[in-house]
Amino acid sequence: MDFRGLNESGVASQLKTLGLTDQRQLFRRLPQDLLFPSFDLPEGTSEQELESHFRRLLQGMTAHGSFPPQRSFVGGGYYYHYIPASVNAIGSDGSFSTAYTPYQAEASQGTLQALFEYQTYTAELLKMDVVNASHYDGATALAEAIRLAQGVHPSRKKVLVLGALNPEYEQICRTYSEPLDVEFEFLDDFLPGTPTFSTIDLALFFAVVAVTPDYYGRVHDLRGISQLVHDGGALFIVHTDPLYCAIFEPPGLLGADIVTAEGQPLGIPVSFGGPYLGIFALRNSLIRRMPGRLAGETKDSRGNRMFVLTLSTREQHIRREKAASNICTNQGLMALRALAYMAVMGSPGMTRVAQACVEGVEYFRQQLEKIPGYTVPSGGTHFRELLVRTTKPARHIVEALKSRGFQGGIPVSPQEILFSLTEVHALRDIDDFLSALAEVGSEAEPSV
Amino acid sequence: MEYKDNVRYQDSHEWARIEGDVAVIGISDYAQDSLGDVVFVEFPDLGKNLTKGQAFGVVESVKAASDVFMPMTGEIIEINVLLKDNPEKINQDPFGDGWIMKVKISQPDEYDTLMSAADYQEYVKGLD
Repeated sequence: MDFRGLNESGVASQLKTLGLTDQRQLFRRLPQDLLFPSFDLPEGTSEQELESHFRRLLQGMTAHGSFPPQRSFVGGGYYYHYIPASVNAIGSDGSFSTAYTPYQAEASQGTLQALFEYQTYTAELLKMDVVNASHYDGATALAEAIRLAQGVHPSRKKVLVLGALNPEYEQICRTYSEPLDVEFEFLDDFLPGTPTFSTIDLALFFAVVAVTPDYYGRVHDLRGISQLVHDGGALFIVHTDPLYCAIFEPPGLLGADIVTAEGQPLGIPVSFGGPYLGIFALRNSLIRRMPGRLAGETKDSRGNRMFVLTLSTREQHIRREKAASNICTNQGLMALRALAYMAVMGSPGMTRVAQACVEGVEYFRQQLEKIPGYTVPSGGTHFRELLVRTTKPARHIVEALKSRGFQGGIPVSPQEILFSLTEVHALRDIDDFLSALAEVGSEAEPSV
Repeated sequence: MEYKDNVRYQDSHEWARIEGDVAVIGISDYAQDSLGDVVFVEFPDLGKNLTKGQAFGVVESVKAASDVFMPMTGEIIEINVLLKDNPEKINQDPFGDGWIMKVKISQPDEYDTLMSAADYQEYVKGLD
């Protein structure tokens, strides 16, 4: 039986039947101190504010060694974002969450429709022609993009990476492309026209991968890059972030041939390394080289709208050793969560989240630069991440922050820490963290 | 089933027809019938030199994607662009509008090693 809520007239009629005047009379015989307390909630509170209000009441009650999201400033590729309750409700619906991959695909119209809609929303976000129904995670999506591009130019062996790539991604891309003898080259400062970029002979490269926002959160201006890359005959791959694309120019408008991203920020919780979501998009002209499954829209024999798995001839159950990829792992349930997140947040919601990821970092940077012992090496706009140089050892600072109840960034070198901020950090959370950083910076180092 | 006798066949079901120093290449009526509706043809790059027996492309149907092999050695000089938007021509007219490409042949003697229509028909009979 369905659960039915009470409205005022329902309550009134039940009380009348019982001969009572007030609901509280029902609980009269219980000890008063055990009754549900009143929370004095303000009117017109958003879901996110309400949740953080109750989380604050729970403070001190988190599991030992864990940090509530607003006290954690660790990112490095995976982020705390607010996840609307409806995303969890849709994502845990048994008809989606208990089903394994549909082998008789067309019998699972609901799953196919969800995948089709995920592809459509994501293509719109990235401004690309085609999005597949997902890879394992962002790193494997990028590794597949590099393999695909190498297949277009079998005689070229080099790939150029622009911007700081997550070191874990680099390892995974190298592992995937090792049997292809791919050589990686890295260039950090890549504005067109700068001596470093213009001295590179792009005709030697099968692809150029631009990373924006990069591992250090730097937002790179990619205008003009695709022209240079295409003049050299190489493919232009952009590795990006889905929320970033809500406010910055999407890679599809910047001439990208292939776009990859980690989809975790779209309603997927951080959880010990996964499951996450590999986003993979490309131009129509490359579609038959695309790895991964693809849901398509068609009509059944009666003319009704329906969904199928399409262009399966690229895939290993048909093309065997000549398949576009022999890795069939995808993340159907995570793609569903991403779809639900995009649908619930909408363009305005995602825009506000993305803005908070820029403004939070900018505020943090401005305040931090006033505190002795910390400097920010890179200027320009940052998204979600900020690399900070420290005069004290980075590991010492992170340890000292932990004892103050903060998960305080990733020490990426002996004197550099990568901090991450998103919309889960309210102004007062950032201020609390800055105070802790100031204390840690001014206290004497422990003698070793 | 049609077995045209102005072309010669190889065992992987491609045919070749000689026009001067050029061979026109396609797949047989038997091949298109076995594949079902053809939805896409992947062509080789123009100017590419391939030897007899090498895969030159892929013919993709609703059921399968099959490599197609050179019946004769030579340089790819023309592809049938009509097939890009109308791959079903391979089903409708495999020996006519459904031709796949033209090759400038460098080993004309190879033509004699291919099967005649009668031999190919015998060969196909043995497959069923």
